[in-house]
Amino acid sequence: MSWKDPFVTVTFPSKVVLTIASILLLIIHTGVIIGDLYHFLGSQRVDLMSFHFTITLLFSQVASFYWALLATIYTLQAEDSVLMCFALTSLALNFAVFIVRFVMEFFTIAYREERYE
Amino acid sequence: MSLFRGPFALWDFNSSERKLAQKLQGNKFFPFQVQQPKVFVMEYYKDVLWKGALLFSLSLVASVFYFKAEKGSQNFAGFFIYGITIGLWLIASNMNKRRLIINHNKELYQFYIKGRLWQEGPLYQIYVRLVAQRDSYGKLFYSLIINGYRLEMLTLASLSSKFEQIDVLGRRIARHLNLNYFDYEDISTRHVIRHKPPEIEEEEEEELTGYQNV
Repeated sequence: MSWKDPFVTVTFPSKVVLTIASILLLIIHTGVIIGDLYHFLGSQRVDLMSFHFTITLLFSQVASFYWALLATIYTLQAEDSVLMCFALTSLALNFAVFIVRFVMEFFTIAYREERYE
Repeated sequence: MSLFRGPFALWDFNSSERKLAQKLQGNKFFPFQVQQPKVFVMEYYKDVLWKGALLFSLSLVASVFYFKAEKGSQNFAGFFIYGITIGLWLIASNMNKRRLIINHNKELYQFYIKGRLWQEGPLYQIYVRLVAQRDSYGKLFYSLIINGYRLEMLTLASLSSKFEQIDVLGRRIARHLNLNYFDYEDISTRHVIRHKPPEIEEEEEEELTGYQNV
């Protein structure tokens, strides 16, 4: 048995695949938020903020939160405390990131590019 | 002659119980092939493969059109990146050939992915089963599957409303392959048990029930 054997299928066990997907998206969203905060508070270059990606980010965050919620419901049924802890962490962090994005959008709304069409 | 043969036998869109009956007339061990007497082998690719390939190519074509089109204030490139990534992942995780062997001489089943042993277990851990899904009017639709511990679910016939016919087919498949057959209800008199798990010793049983009571 070689160490490569578990990696033949590039996937995770079906119990954690939703949690892993939500955590991967969570990392992306956290990265985007950190970049936004840096450009808003640090470098003051608001043209580099993620205003052009608002719709994509909204869809992506909703998908991530939904997957974390689904994973939580499934693991609550499975009664495995480690998996449940993992899934609940993902759910809470996703919710927190969503709130942060929501608040930040309100604070930065004056800096959005204006378009009259 | 069907377009879906060999390792693609389960990709058929029209997976009704009549189609399955026709296939069983051609090969009474369908979807398995007889390698030696009492040894059944099945090689297959998962059908998620073509879905992943479809998602990947659609996202790729759409992204090409998107980058040529005029831009608005919002940038939608993220959706195409997600589509391409998920498509690639679906292809990569399902591209390897699976081989399922039911060996009645050694009384075990073996599941290989890309020639590497993935799971080996006794025959009472693999079964043929009816699965029922209820629609919004309360009508039941039945699917026939082969599944087992750490196996991937194989759907032989999906969402048929004719219980008697699909039940007969399921029993016939289970009899030819000499596997356990389970009804769609968990507790039922229509189960056919051919391989029993070993009896639990009395002490262990006490431990188990004691554990459940706690």
